[in-house]
Amino acid sequence: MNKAFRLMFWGYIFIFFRIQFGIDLLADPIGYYLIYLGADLMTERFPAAKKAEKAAFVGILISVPGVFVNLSEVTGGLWTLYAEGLFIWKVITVYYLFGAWKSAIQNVGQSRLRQRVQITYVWYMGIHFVMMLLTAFSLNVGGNEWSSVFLFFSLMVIAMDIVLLALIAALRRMDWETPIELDESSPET
Amino acid sequence: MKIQPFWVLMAIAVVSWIANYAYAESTKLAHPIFLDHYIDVWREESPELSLYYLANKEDRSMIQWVELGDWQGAPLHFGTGPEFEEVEHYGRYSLRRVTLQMDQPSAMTEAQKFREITVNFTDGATVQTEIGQVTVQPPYDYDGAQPFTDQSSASGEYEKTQLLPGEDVTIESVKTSFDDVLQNQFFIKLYMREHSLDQGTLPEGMSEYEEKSWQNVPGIDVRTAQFPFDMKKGERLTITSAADLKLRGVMQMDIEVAGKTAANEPFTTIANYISYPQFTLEEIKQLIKKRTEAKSNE
Repeated sequence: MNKAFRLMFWGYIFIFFRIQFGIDLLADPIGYYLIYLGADLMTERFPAAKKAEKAAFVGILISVPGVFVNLSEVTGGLWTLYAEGLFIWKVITVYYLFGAWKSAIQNVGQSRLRQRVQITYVWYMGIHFVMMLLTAFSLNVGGNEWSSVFLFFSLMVIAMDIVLLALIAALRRMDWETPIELDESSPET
Repeated sequence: MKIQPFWVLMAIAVVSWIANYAYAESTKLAHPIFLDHYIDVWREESPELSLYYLANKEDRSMIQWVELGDWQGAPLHFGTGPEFEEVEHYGRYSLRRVTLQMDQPSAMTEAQKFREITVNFTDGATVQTEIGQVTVQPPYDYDGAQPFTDQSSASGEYEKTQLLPGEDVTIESVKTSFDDVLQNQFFIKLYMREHSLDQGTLPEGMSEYEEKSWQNVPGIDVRTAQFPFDMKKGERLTITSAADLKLRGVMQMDIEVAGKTAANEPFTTIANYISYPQFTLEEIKQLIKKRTEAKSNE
């Protein structure tokens, strides 16, 4: 499990960061592949990770064209749609990862961790949702106030990416070897 | 099965995207659209010309060079800065200004008027369009007679210029190079206390509101004034000018006051009229419509 989380951690870093030298050196397909491997490892103990595995697999395929185009410099048209599609798929993949992680932390004594995961989930999804709406309306709206709001939420998205990485790191540090004693009293999310 | 709120949010996001994208594509400009300009340029070494145009907000192309007839020019290079400036934002469009360095115009004794421009952009697009009118004036005679000892201007509701002659003069004409192109859209009134407060006939083409205020401006419409008329030393001439409220154009016009001194020396004095348009989004759409309809009539 330790290794699984390590793979997911690095996978997300590849998707999150972008070092552009002609092509994106921290390429998304590689990131999705790492997440795919991590989720695959996780399914041995937690079958709920299967969905995350599938989402990551799709991510590998659809993110390939993005390696060759600097998506932050596109000016409209189909590349804009594609870039947003990748963004949406990243959010969906993370949604399934959350599902997998939640299923793995149903133990007694993990309620604080469950809380942390839930709060992270709400914030991550909330901010990304607002960002999706902003980018949609940015096609037709502009001006200085709008740009300020847009910039603010762009930074918030980056903050959420970092918070997510911190969560994955925390999950990895947990003791995964002792036998599970399911927490019967807490509702399964 | 309870529908997860996550998927509801995703559906909302996707629908917003599709709706915005469809709208943006349907209102996209095929190529940038230029405003109407009414500009007088002096035939100097290399005159500068500032043009305003409307582009799609995501359009990153810049103007490479322009042609007014045979007269060419290219944007001034401000170091590594962008070669246009965004002046205003109108939803999906951005109004931009580019300052061009024009070549020296060919020598001619008369004013040259250009009503069309060809613009080449960095993305390969070439636009040939109406531009309003750019007039190249013959060189100003700095050694000519200068009979006015005082020339002051003020902007308020209307642009006003006052001329005070230091000697007796005869005024032969007051006109602009845009009199034909801006007929019934640009108005000039002349006032001298010693002459008439007579209003004459009201100019046609003014909107109702402006008519009422314009009525109260002292003086007579330049079109009904009797030329030539005399001014004695010390008699002040007030020139008030106004554009139709519905006119939306970039105006940098010279009002030319021409005449002779008592010693029969000809003179030309210039009063400026400068105005930049303020658009509403509706007016922007009308401009776009006007230009695209003109294009399809070609």
